[in-house]
Amino acid sequence: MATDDIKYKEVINILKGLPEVNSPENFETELMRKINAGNFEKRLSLWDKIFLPSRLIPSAALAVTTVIILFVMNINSGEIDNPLLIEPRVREDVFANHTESISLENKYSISAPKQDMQDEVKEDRNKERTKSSSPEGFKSGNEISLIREDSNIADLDIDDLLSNRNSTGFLMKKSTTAASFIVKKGLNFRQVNLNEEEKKIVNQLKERIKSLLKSRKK
Amino acid sequence: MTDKNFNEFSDEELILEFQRNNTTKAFEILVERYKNPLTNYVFRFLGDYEACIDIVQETMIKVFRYKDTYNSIAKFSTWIYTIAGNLARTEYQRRKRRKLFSIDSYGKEKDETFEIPDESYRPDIITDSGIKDKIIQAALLKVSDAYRDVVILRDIQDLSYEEIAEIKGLAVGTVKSRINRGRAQLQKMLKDIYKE
Repeated sequence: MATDDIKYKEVINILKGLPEVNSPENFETELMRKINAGNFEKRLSLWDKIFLPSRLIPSAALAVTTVIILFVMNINSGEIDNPLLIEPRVREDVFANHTESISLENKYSISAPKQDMQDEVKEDRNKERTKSSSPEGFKSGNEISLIREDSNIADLDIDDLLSNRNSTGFLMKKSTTAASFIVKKGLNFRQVNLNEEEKKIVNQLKERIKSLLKSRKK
Repeated sequence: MTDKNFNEFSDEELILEFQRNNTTKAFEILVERYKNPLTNYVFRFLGDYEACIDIVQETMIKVFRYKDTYNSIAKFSTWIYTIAGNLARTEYQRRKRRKLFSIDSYGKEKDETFEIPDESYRPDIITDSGIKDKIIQAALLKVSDAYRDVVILRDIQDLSYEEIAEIKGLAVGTVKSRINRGRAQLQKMLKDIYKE
């Protein structure tokens, strides 16, 4: 490295020739005054820096506000049902209770004009939509099923049951208010058009039931 | 122990005395020994006397407060130069950022470019030694930070390459190459002065 010193000899000499800069005369006095006053900056630890009131208060306020907003939003979300998540009303229970009534109504539908039947069904559906509370038809369906349970099937005339309007009128004899309900208004029923084979089967079943009832009576 | 004895102590013995017995006199002797070398070093690096005095005082305060962090294996001079060098570099970077910001904002406000006048190398004004010293100092400040630091420690403070390597935390070879690069930059800038 001696070669480098020779190479830069002039620069080195210039730098060495610079006058020395000294501290002022009152350097020690000033230094000791600062040390004794202890007004040098205190080093804060990480935790001290984090929990400084100037930092802690805004962050705590932000956290509290966030919690409050989340809490309020959570309460509101419980009251409002998402319409996309609501399941449609299930009417299967109504159909199940009307199983036998359907067959009666089907019988009725065969004798009644088709157009009138369809109009009645439309009316029934419209009424169903307008009524928010439990529909009248639903009530009547329950009542019908109760009547059917209470009554003894063996005591009924099967022709009356299956063939004409009187059969429904007969059912409603047990209930004081049922007459108005059973006349298809407010009822949910399924219209089934039987073909010839099915009609034959139904007729055969009717005959069997008749014979069974007659044998019991004897 | 008498004051005379303390004056005969080495730097390392003094700081150990200050560590163990909290002897203020030992600290005062260390301040007396290092105040001028550090002032010279920091002034040549920063070029501002007021700031330089503040930094040297802060260095002494750090020695006073953190005396227990000194490791007796290392040389005291290395330790105190490291503290002063770090503080000086921090101050220099802070000033540089401030200067850059002010120049940048000035240019944007006026929507025009401008140049900072540099008359330090005009041959007609190189007349006496006082001005020469200023020119040398100005040239020194134009040397890259990494090179300037080691050139001052070597050619002005007369520290060995090994000491500089320890202060800067670099390999000796790196220190040597940096010193030579700094010298080369200075030579280029000061050729008009040393040719006179």
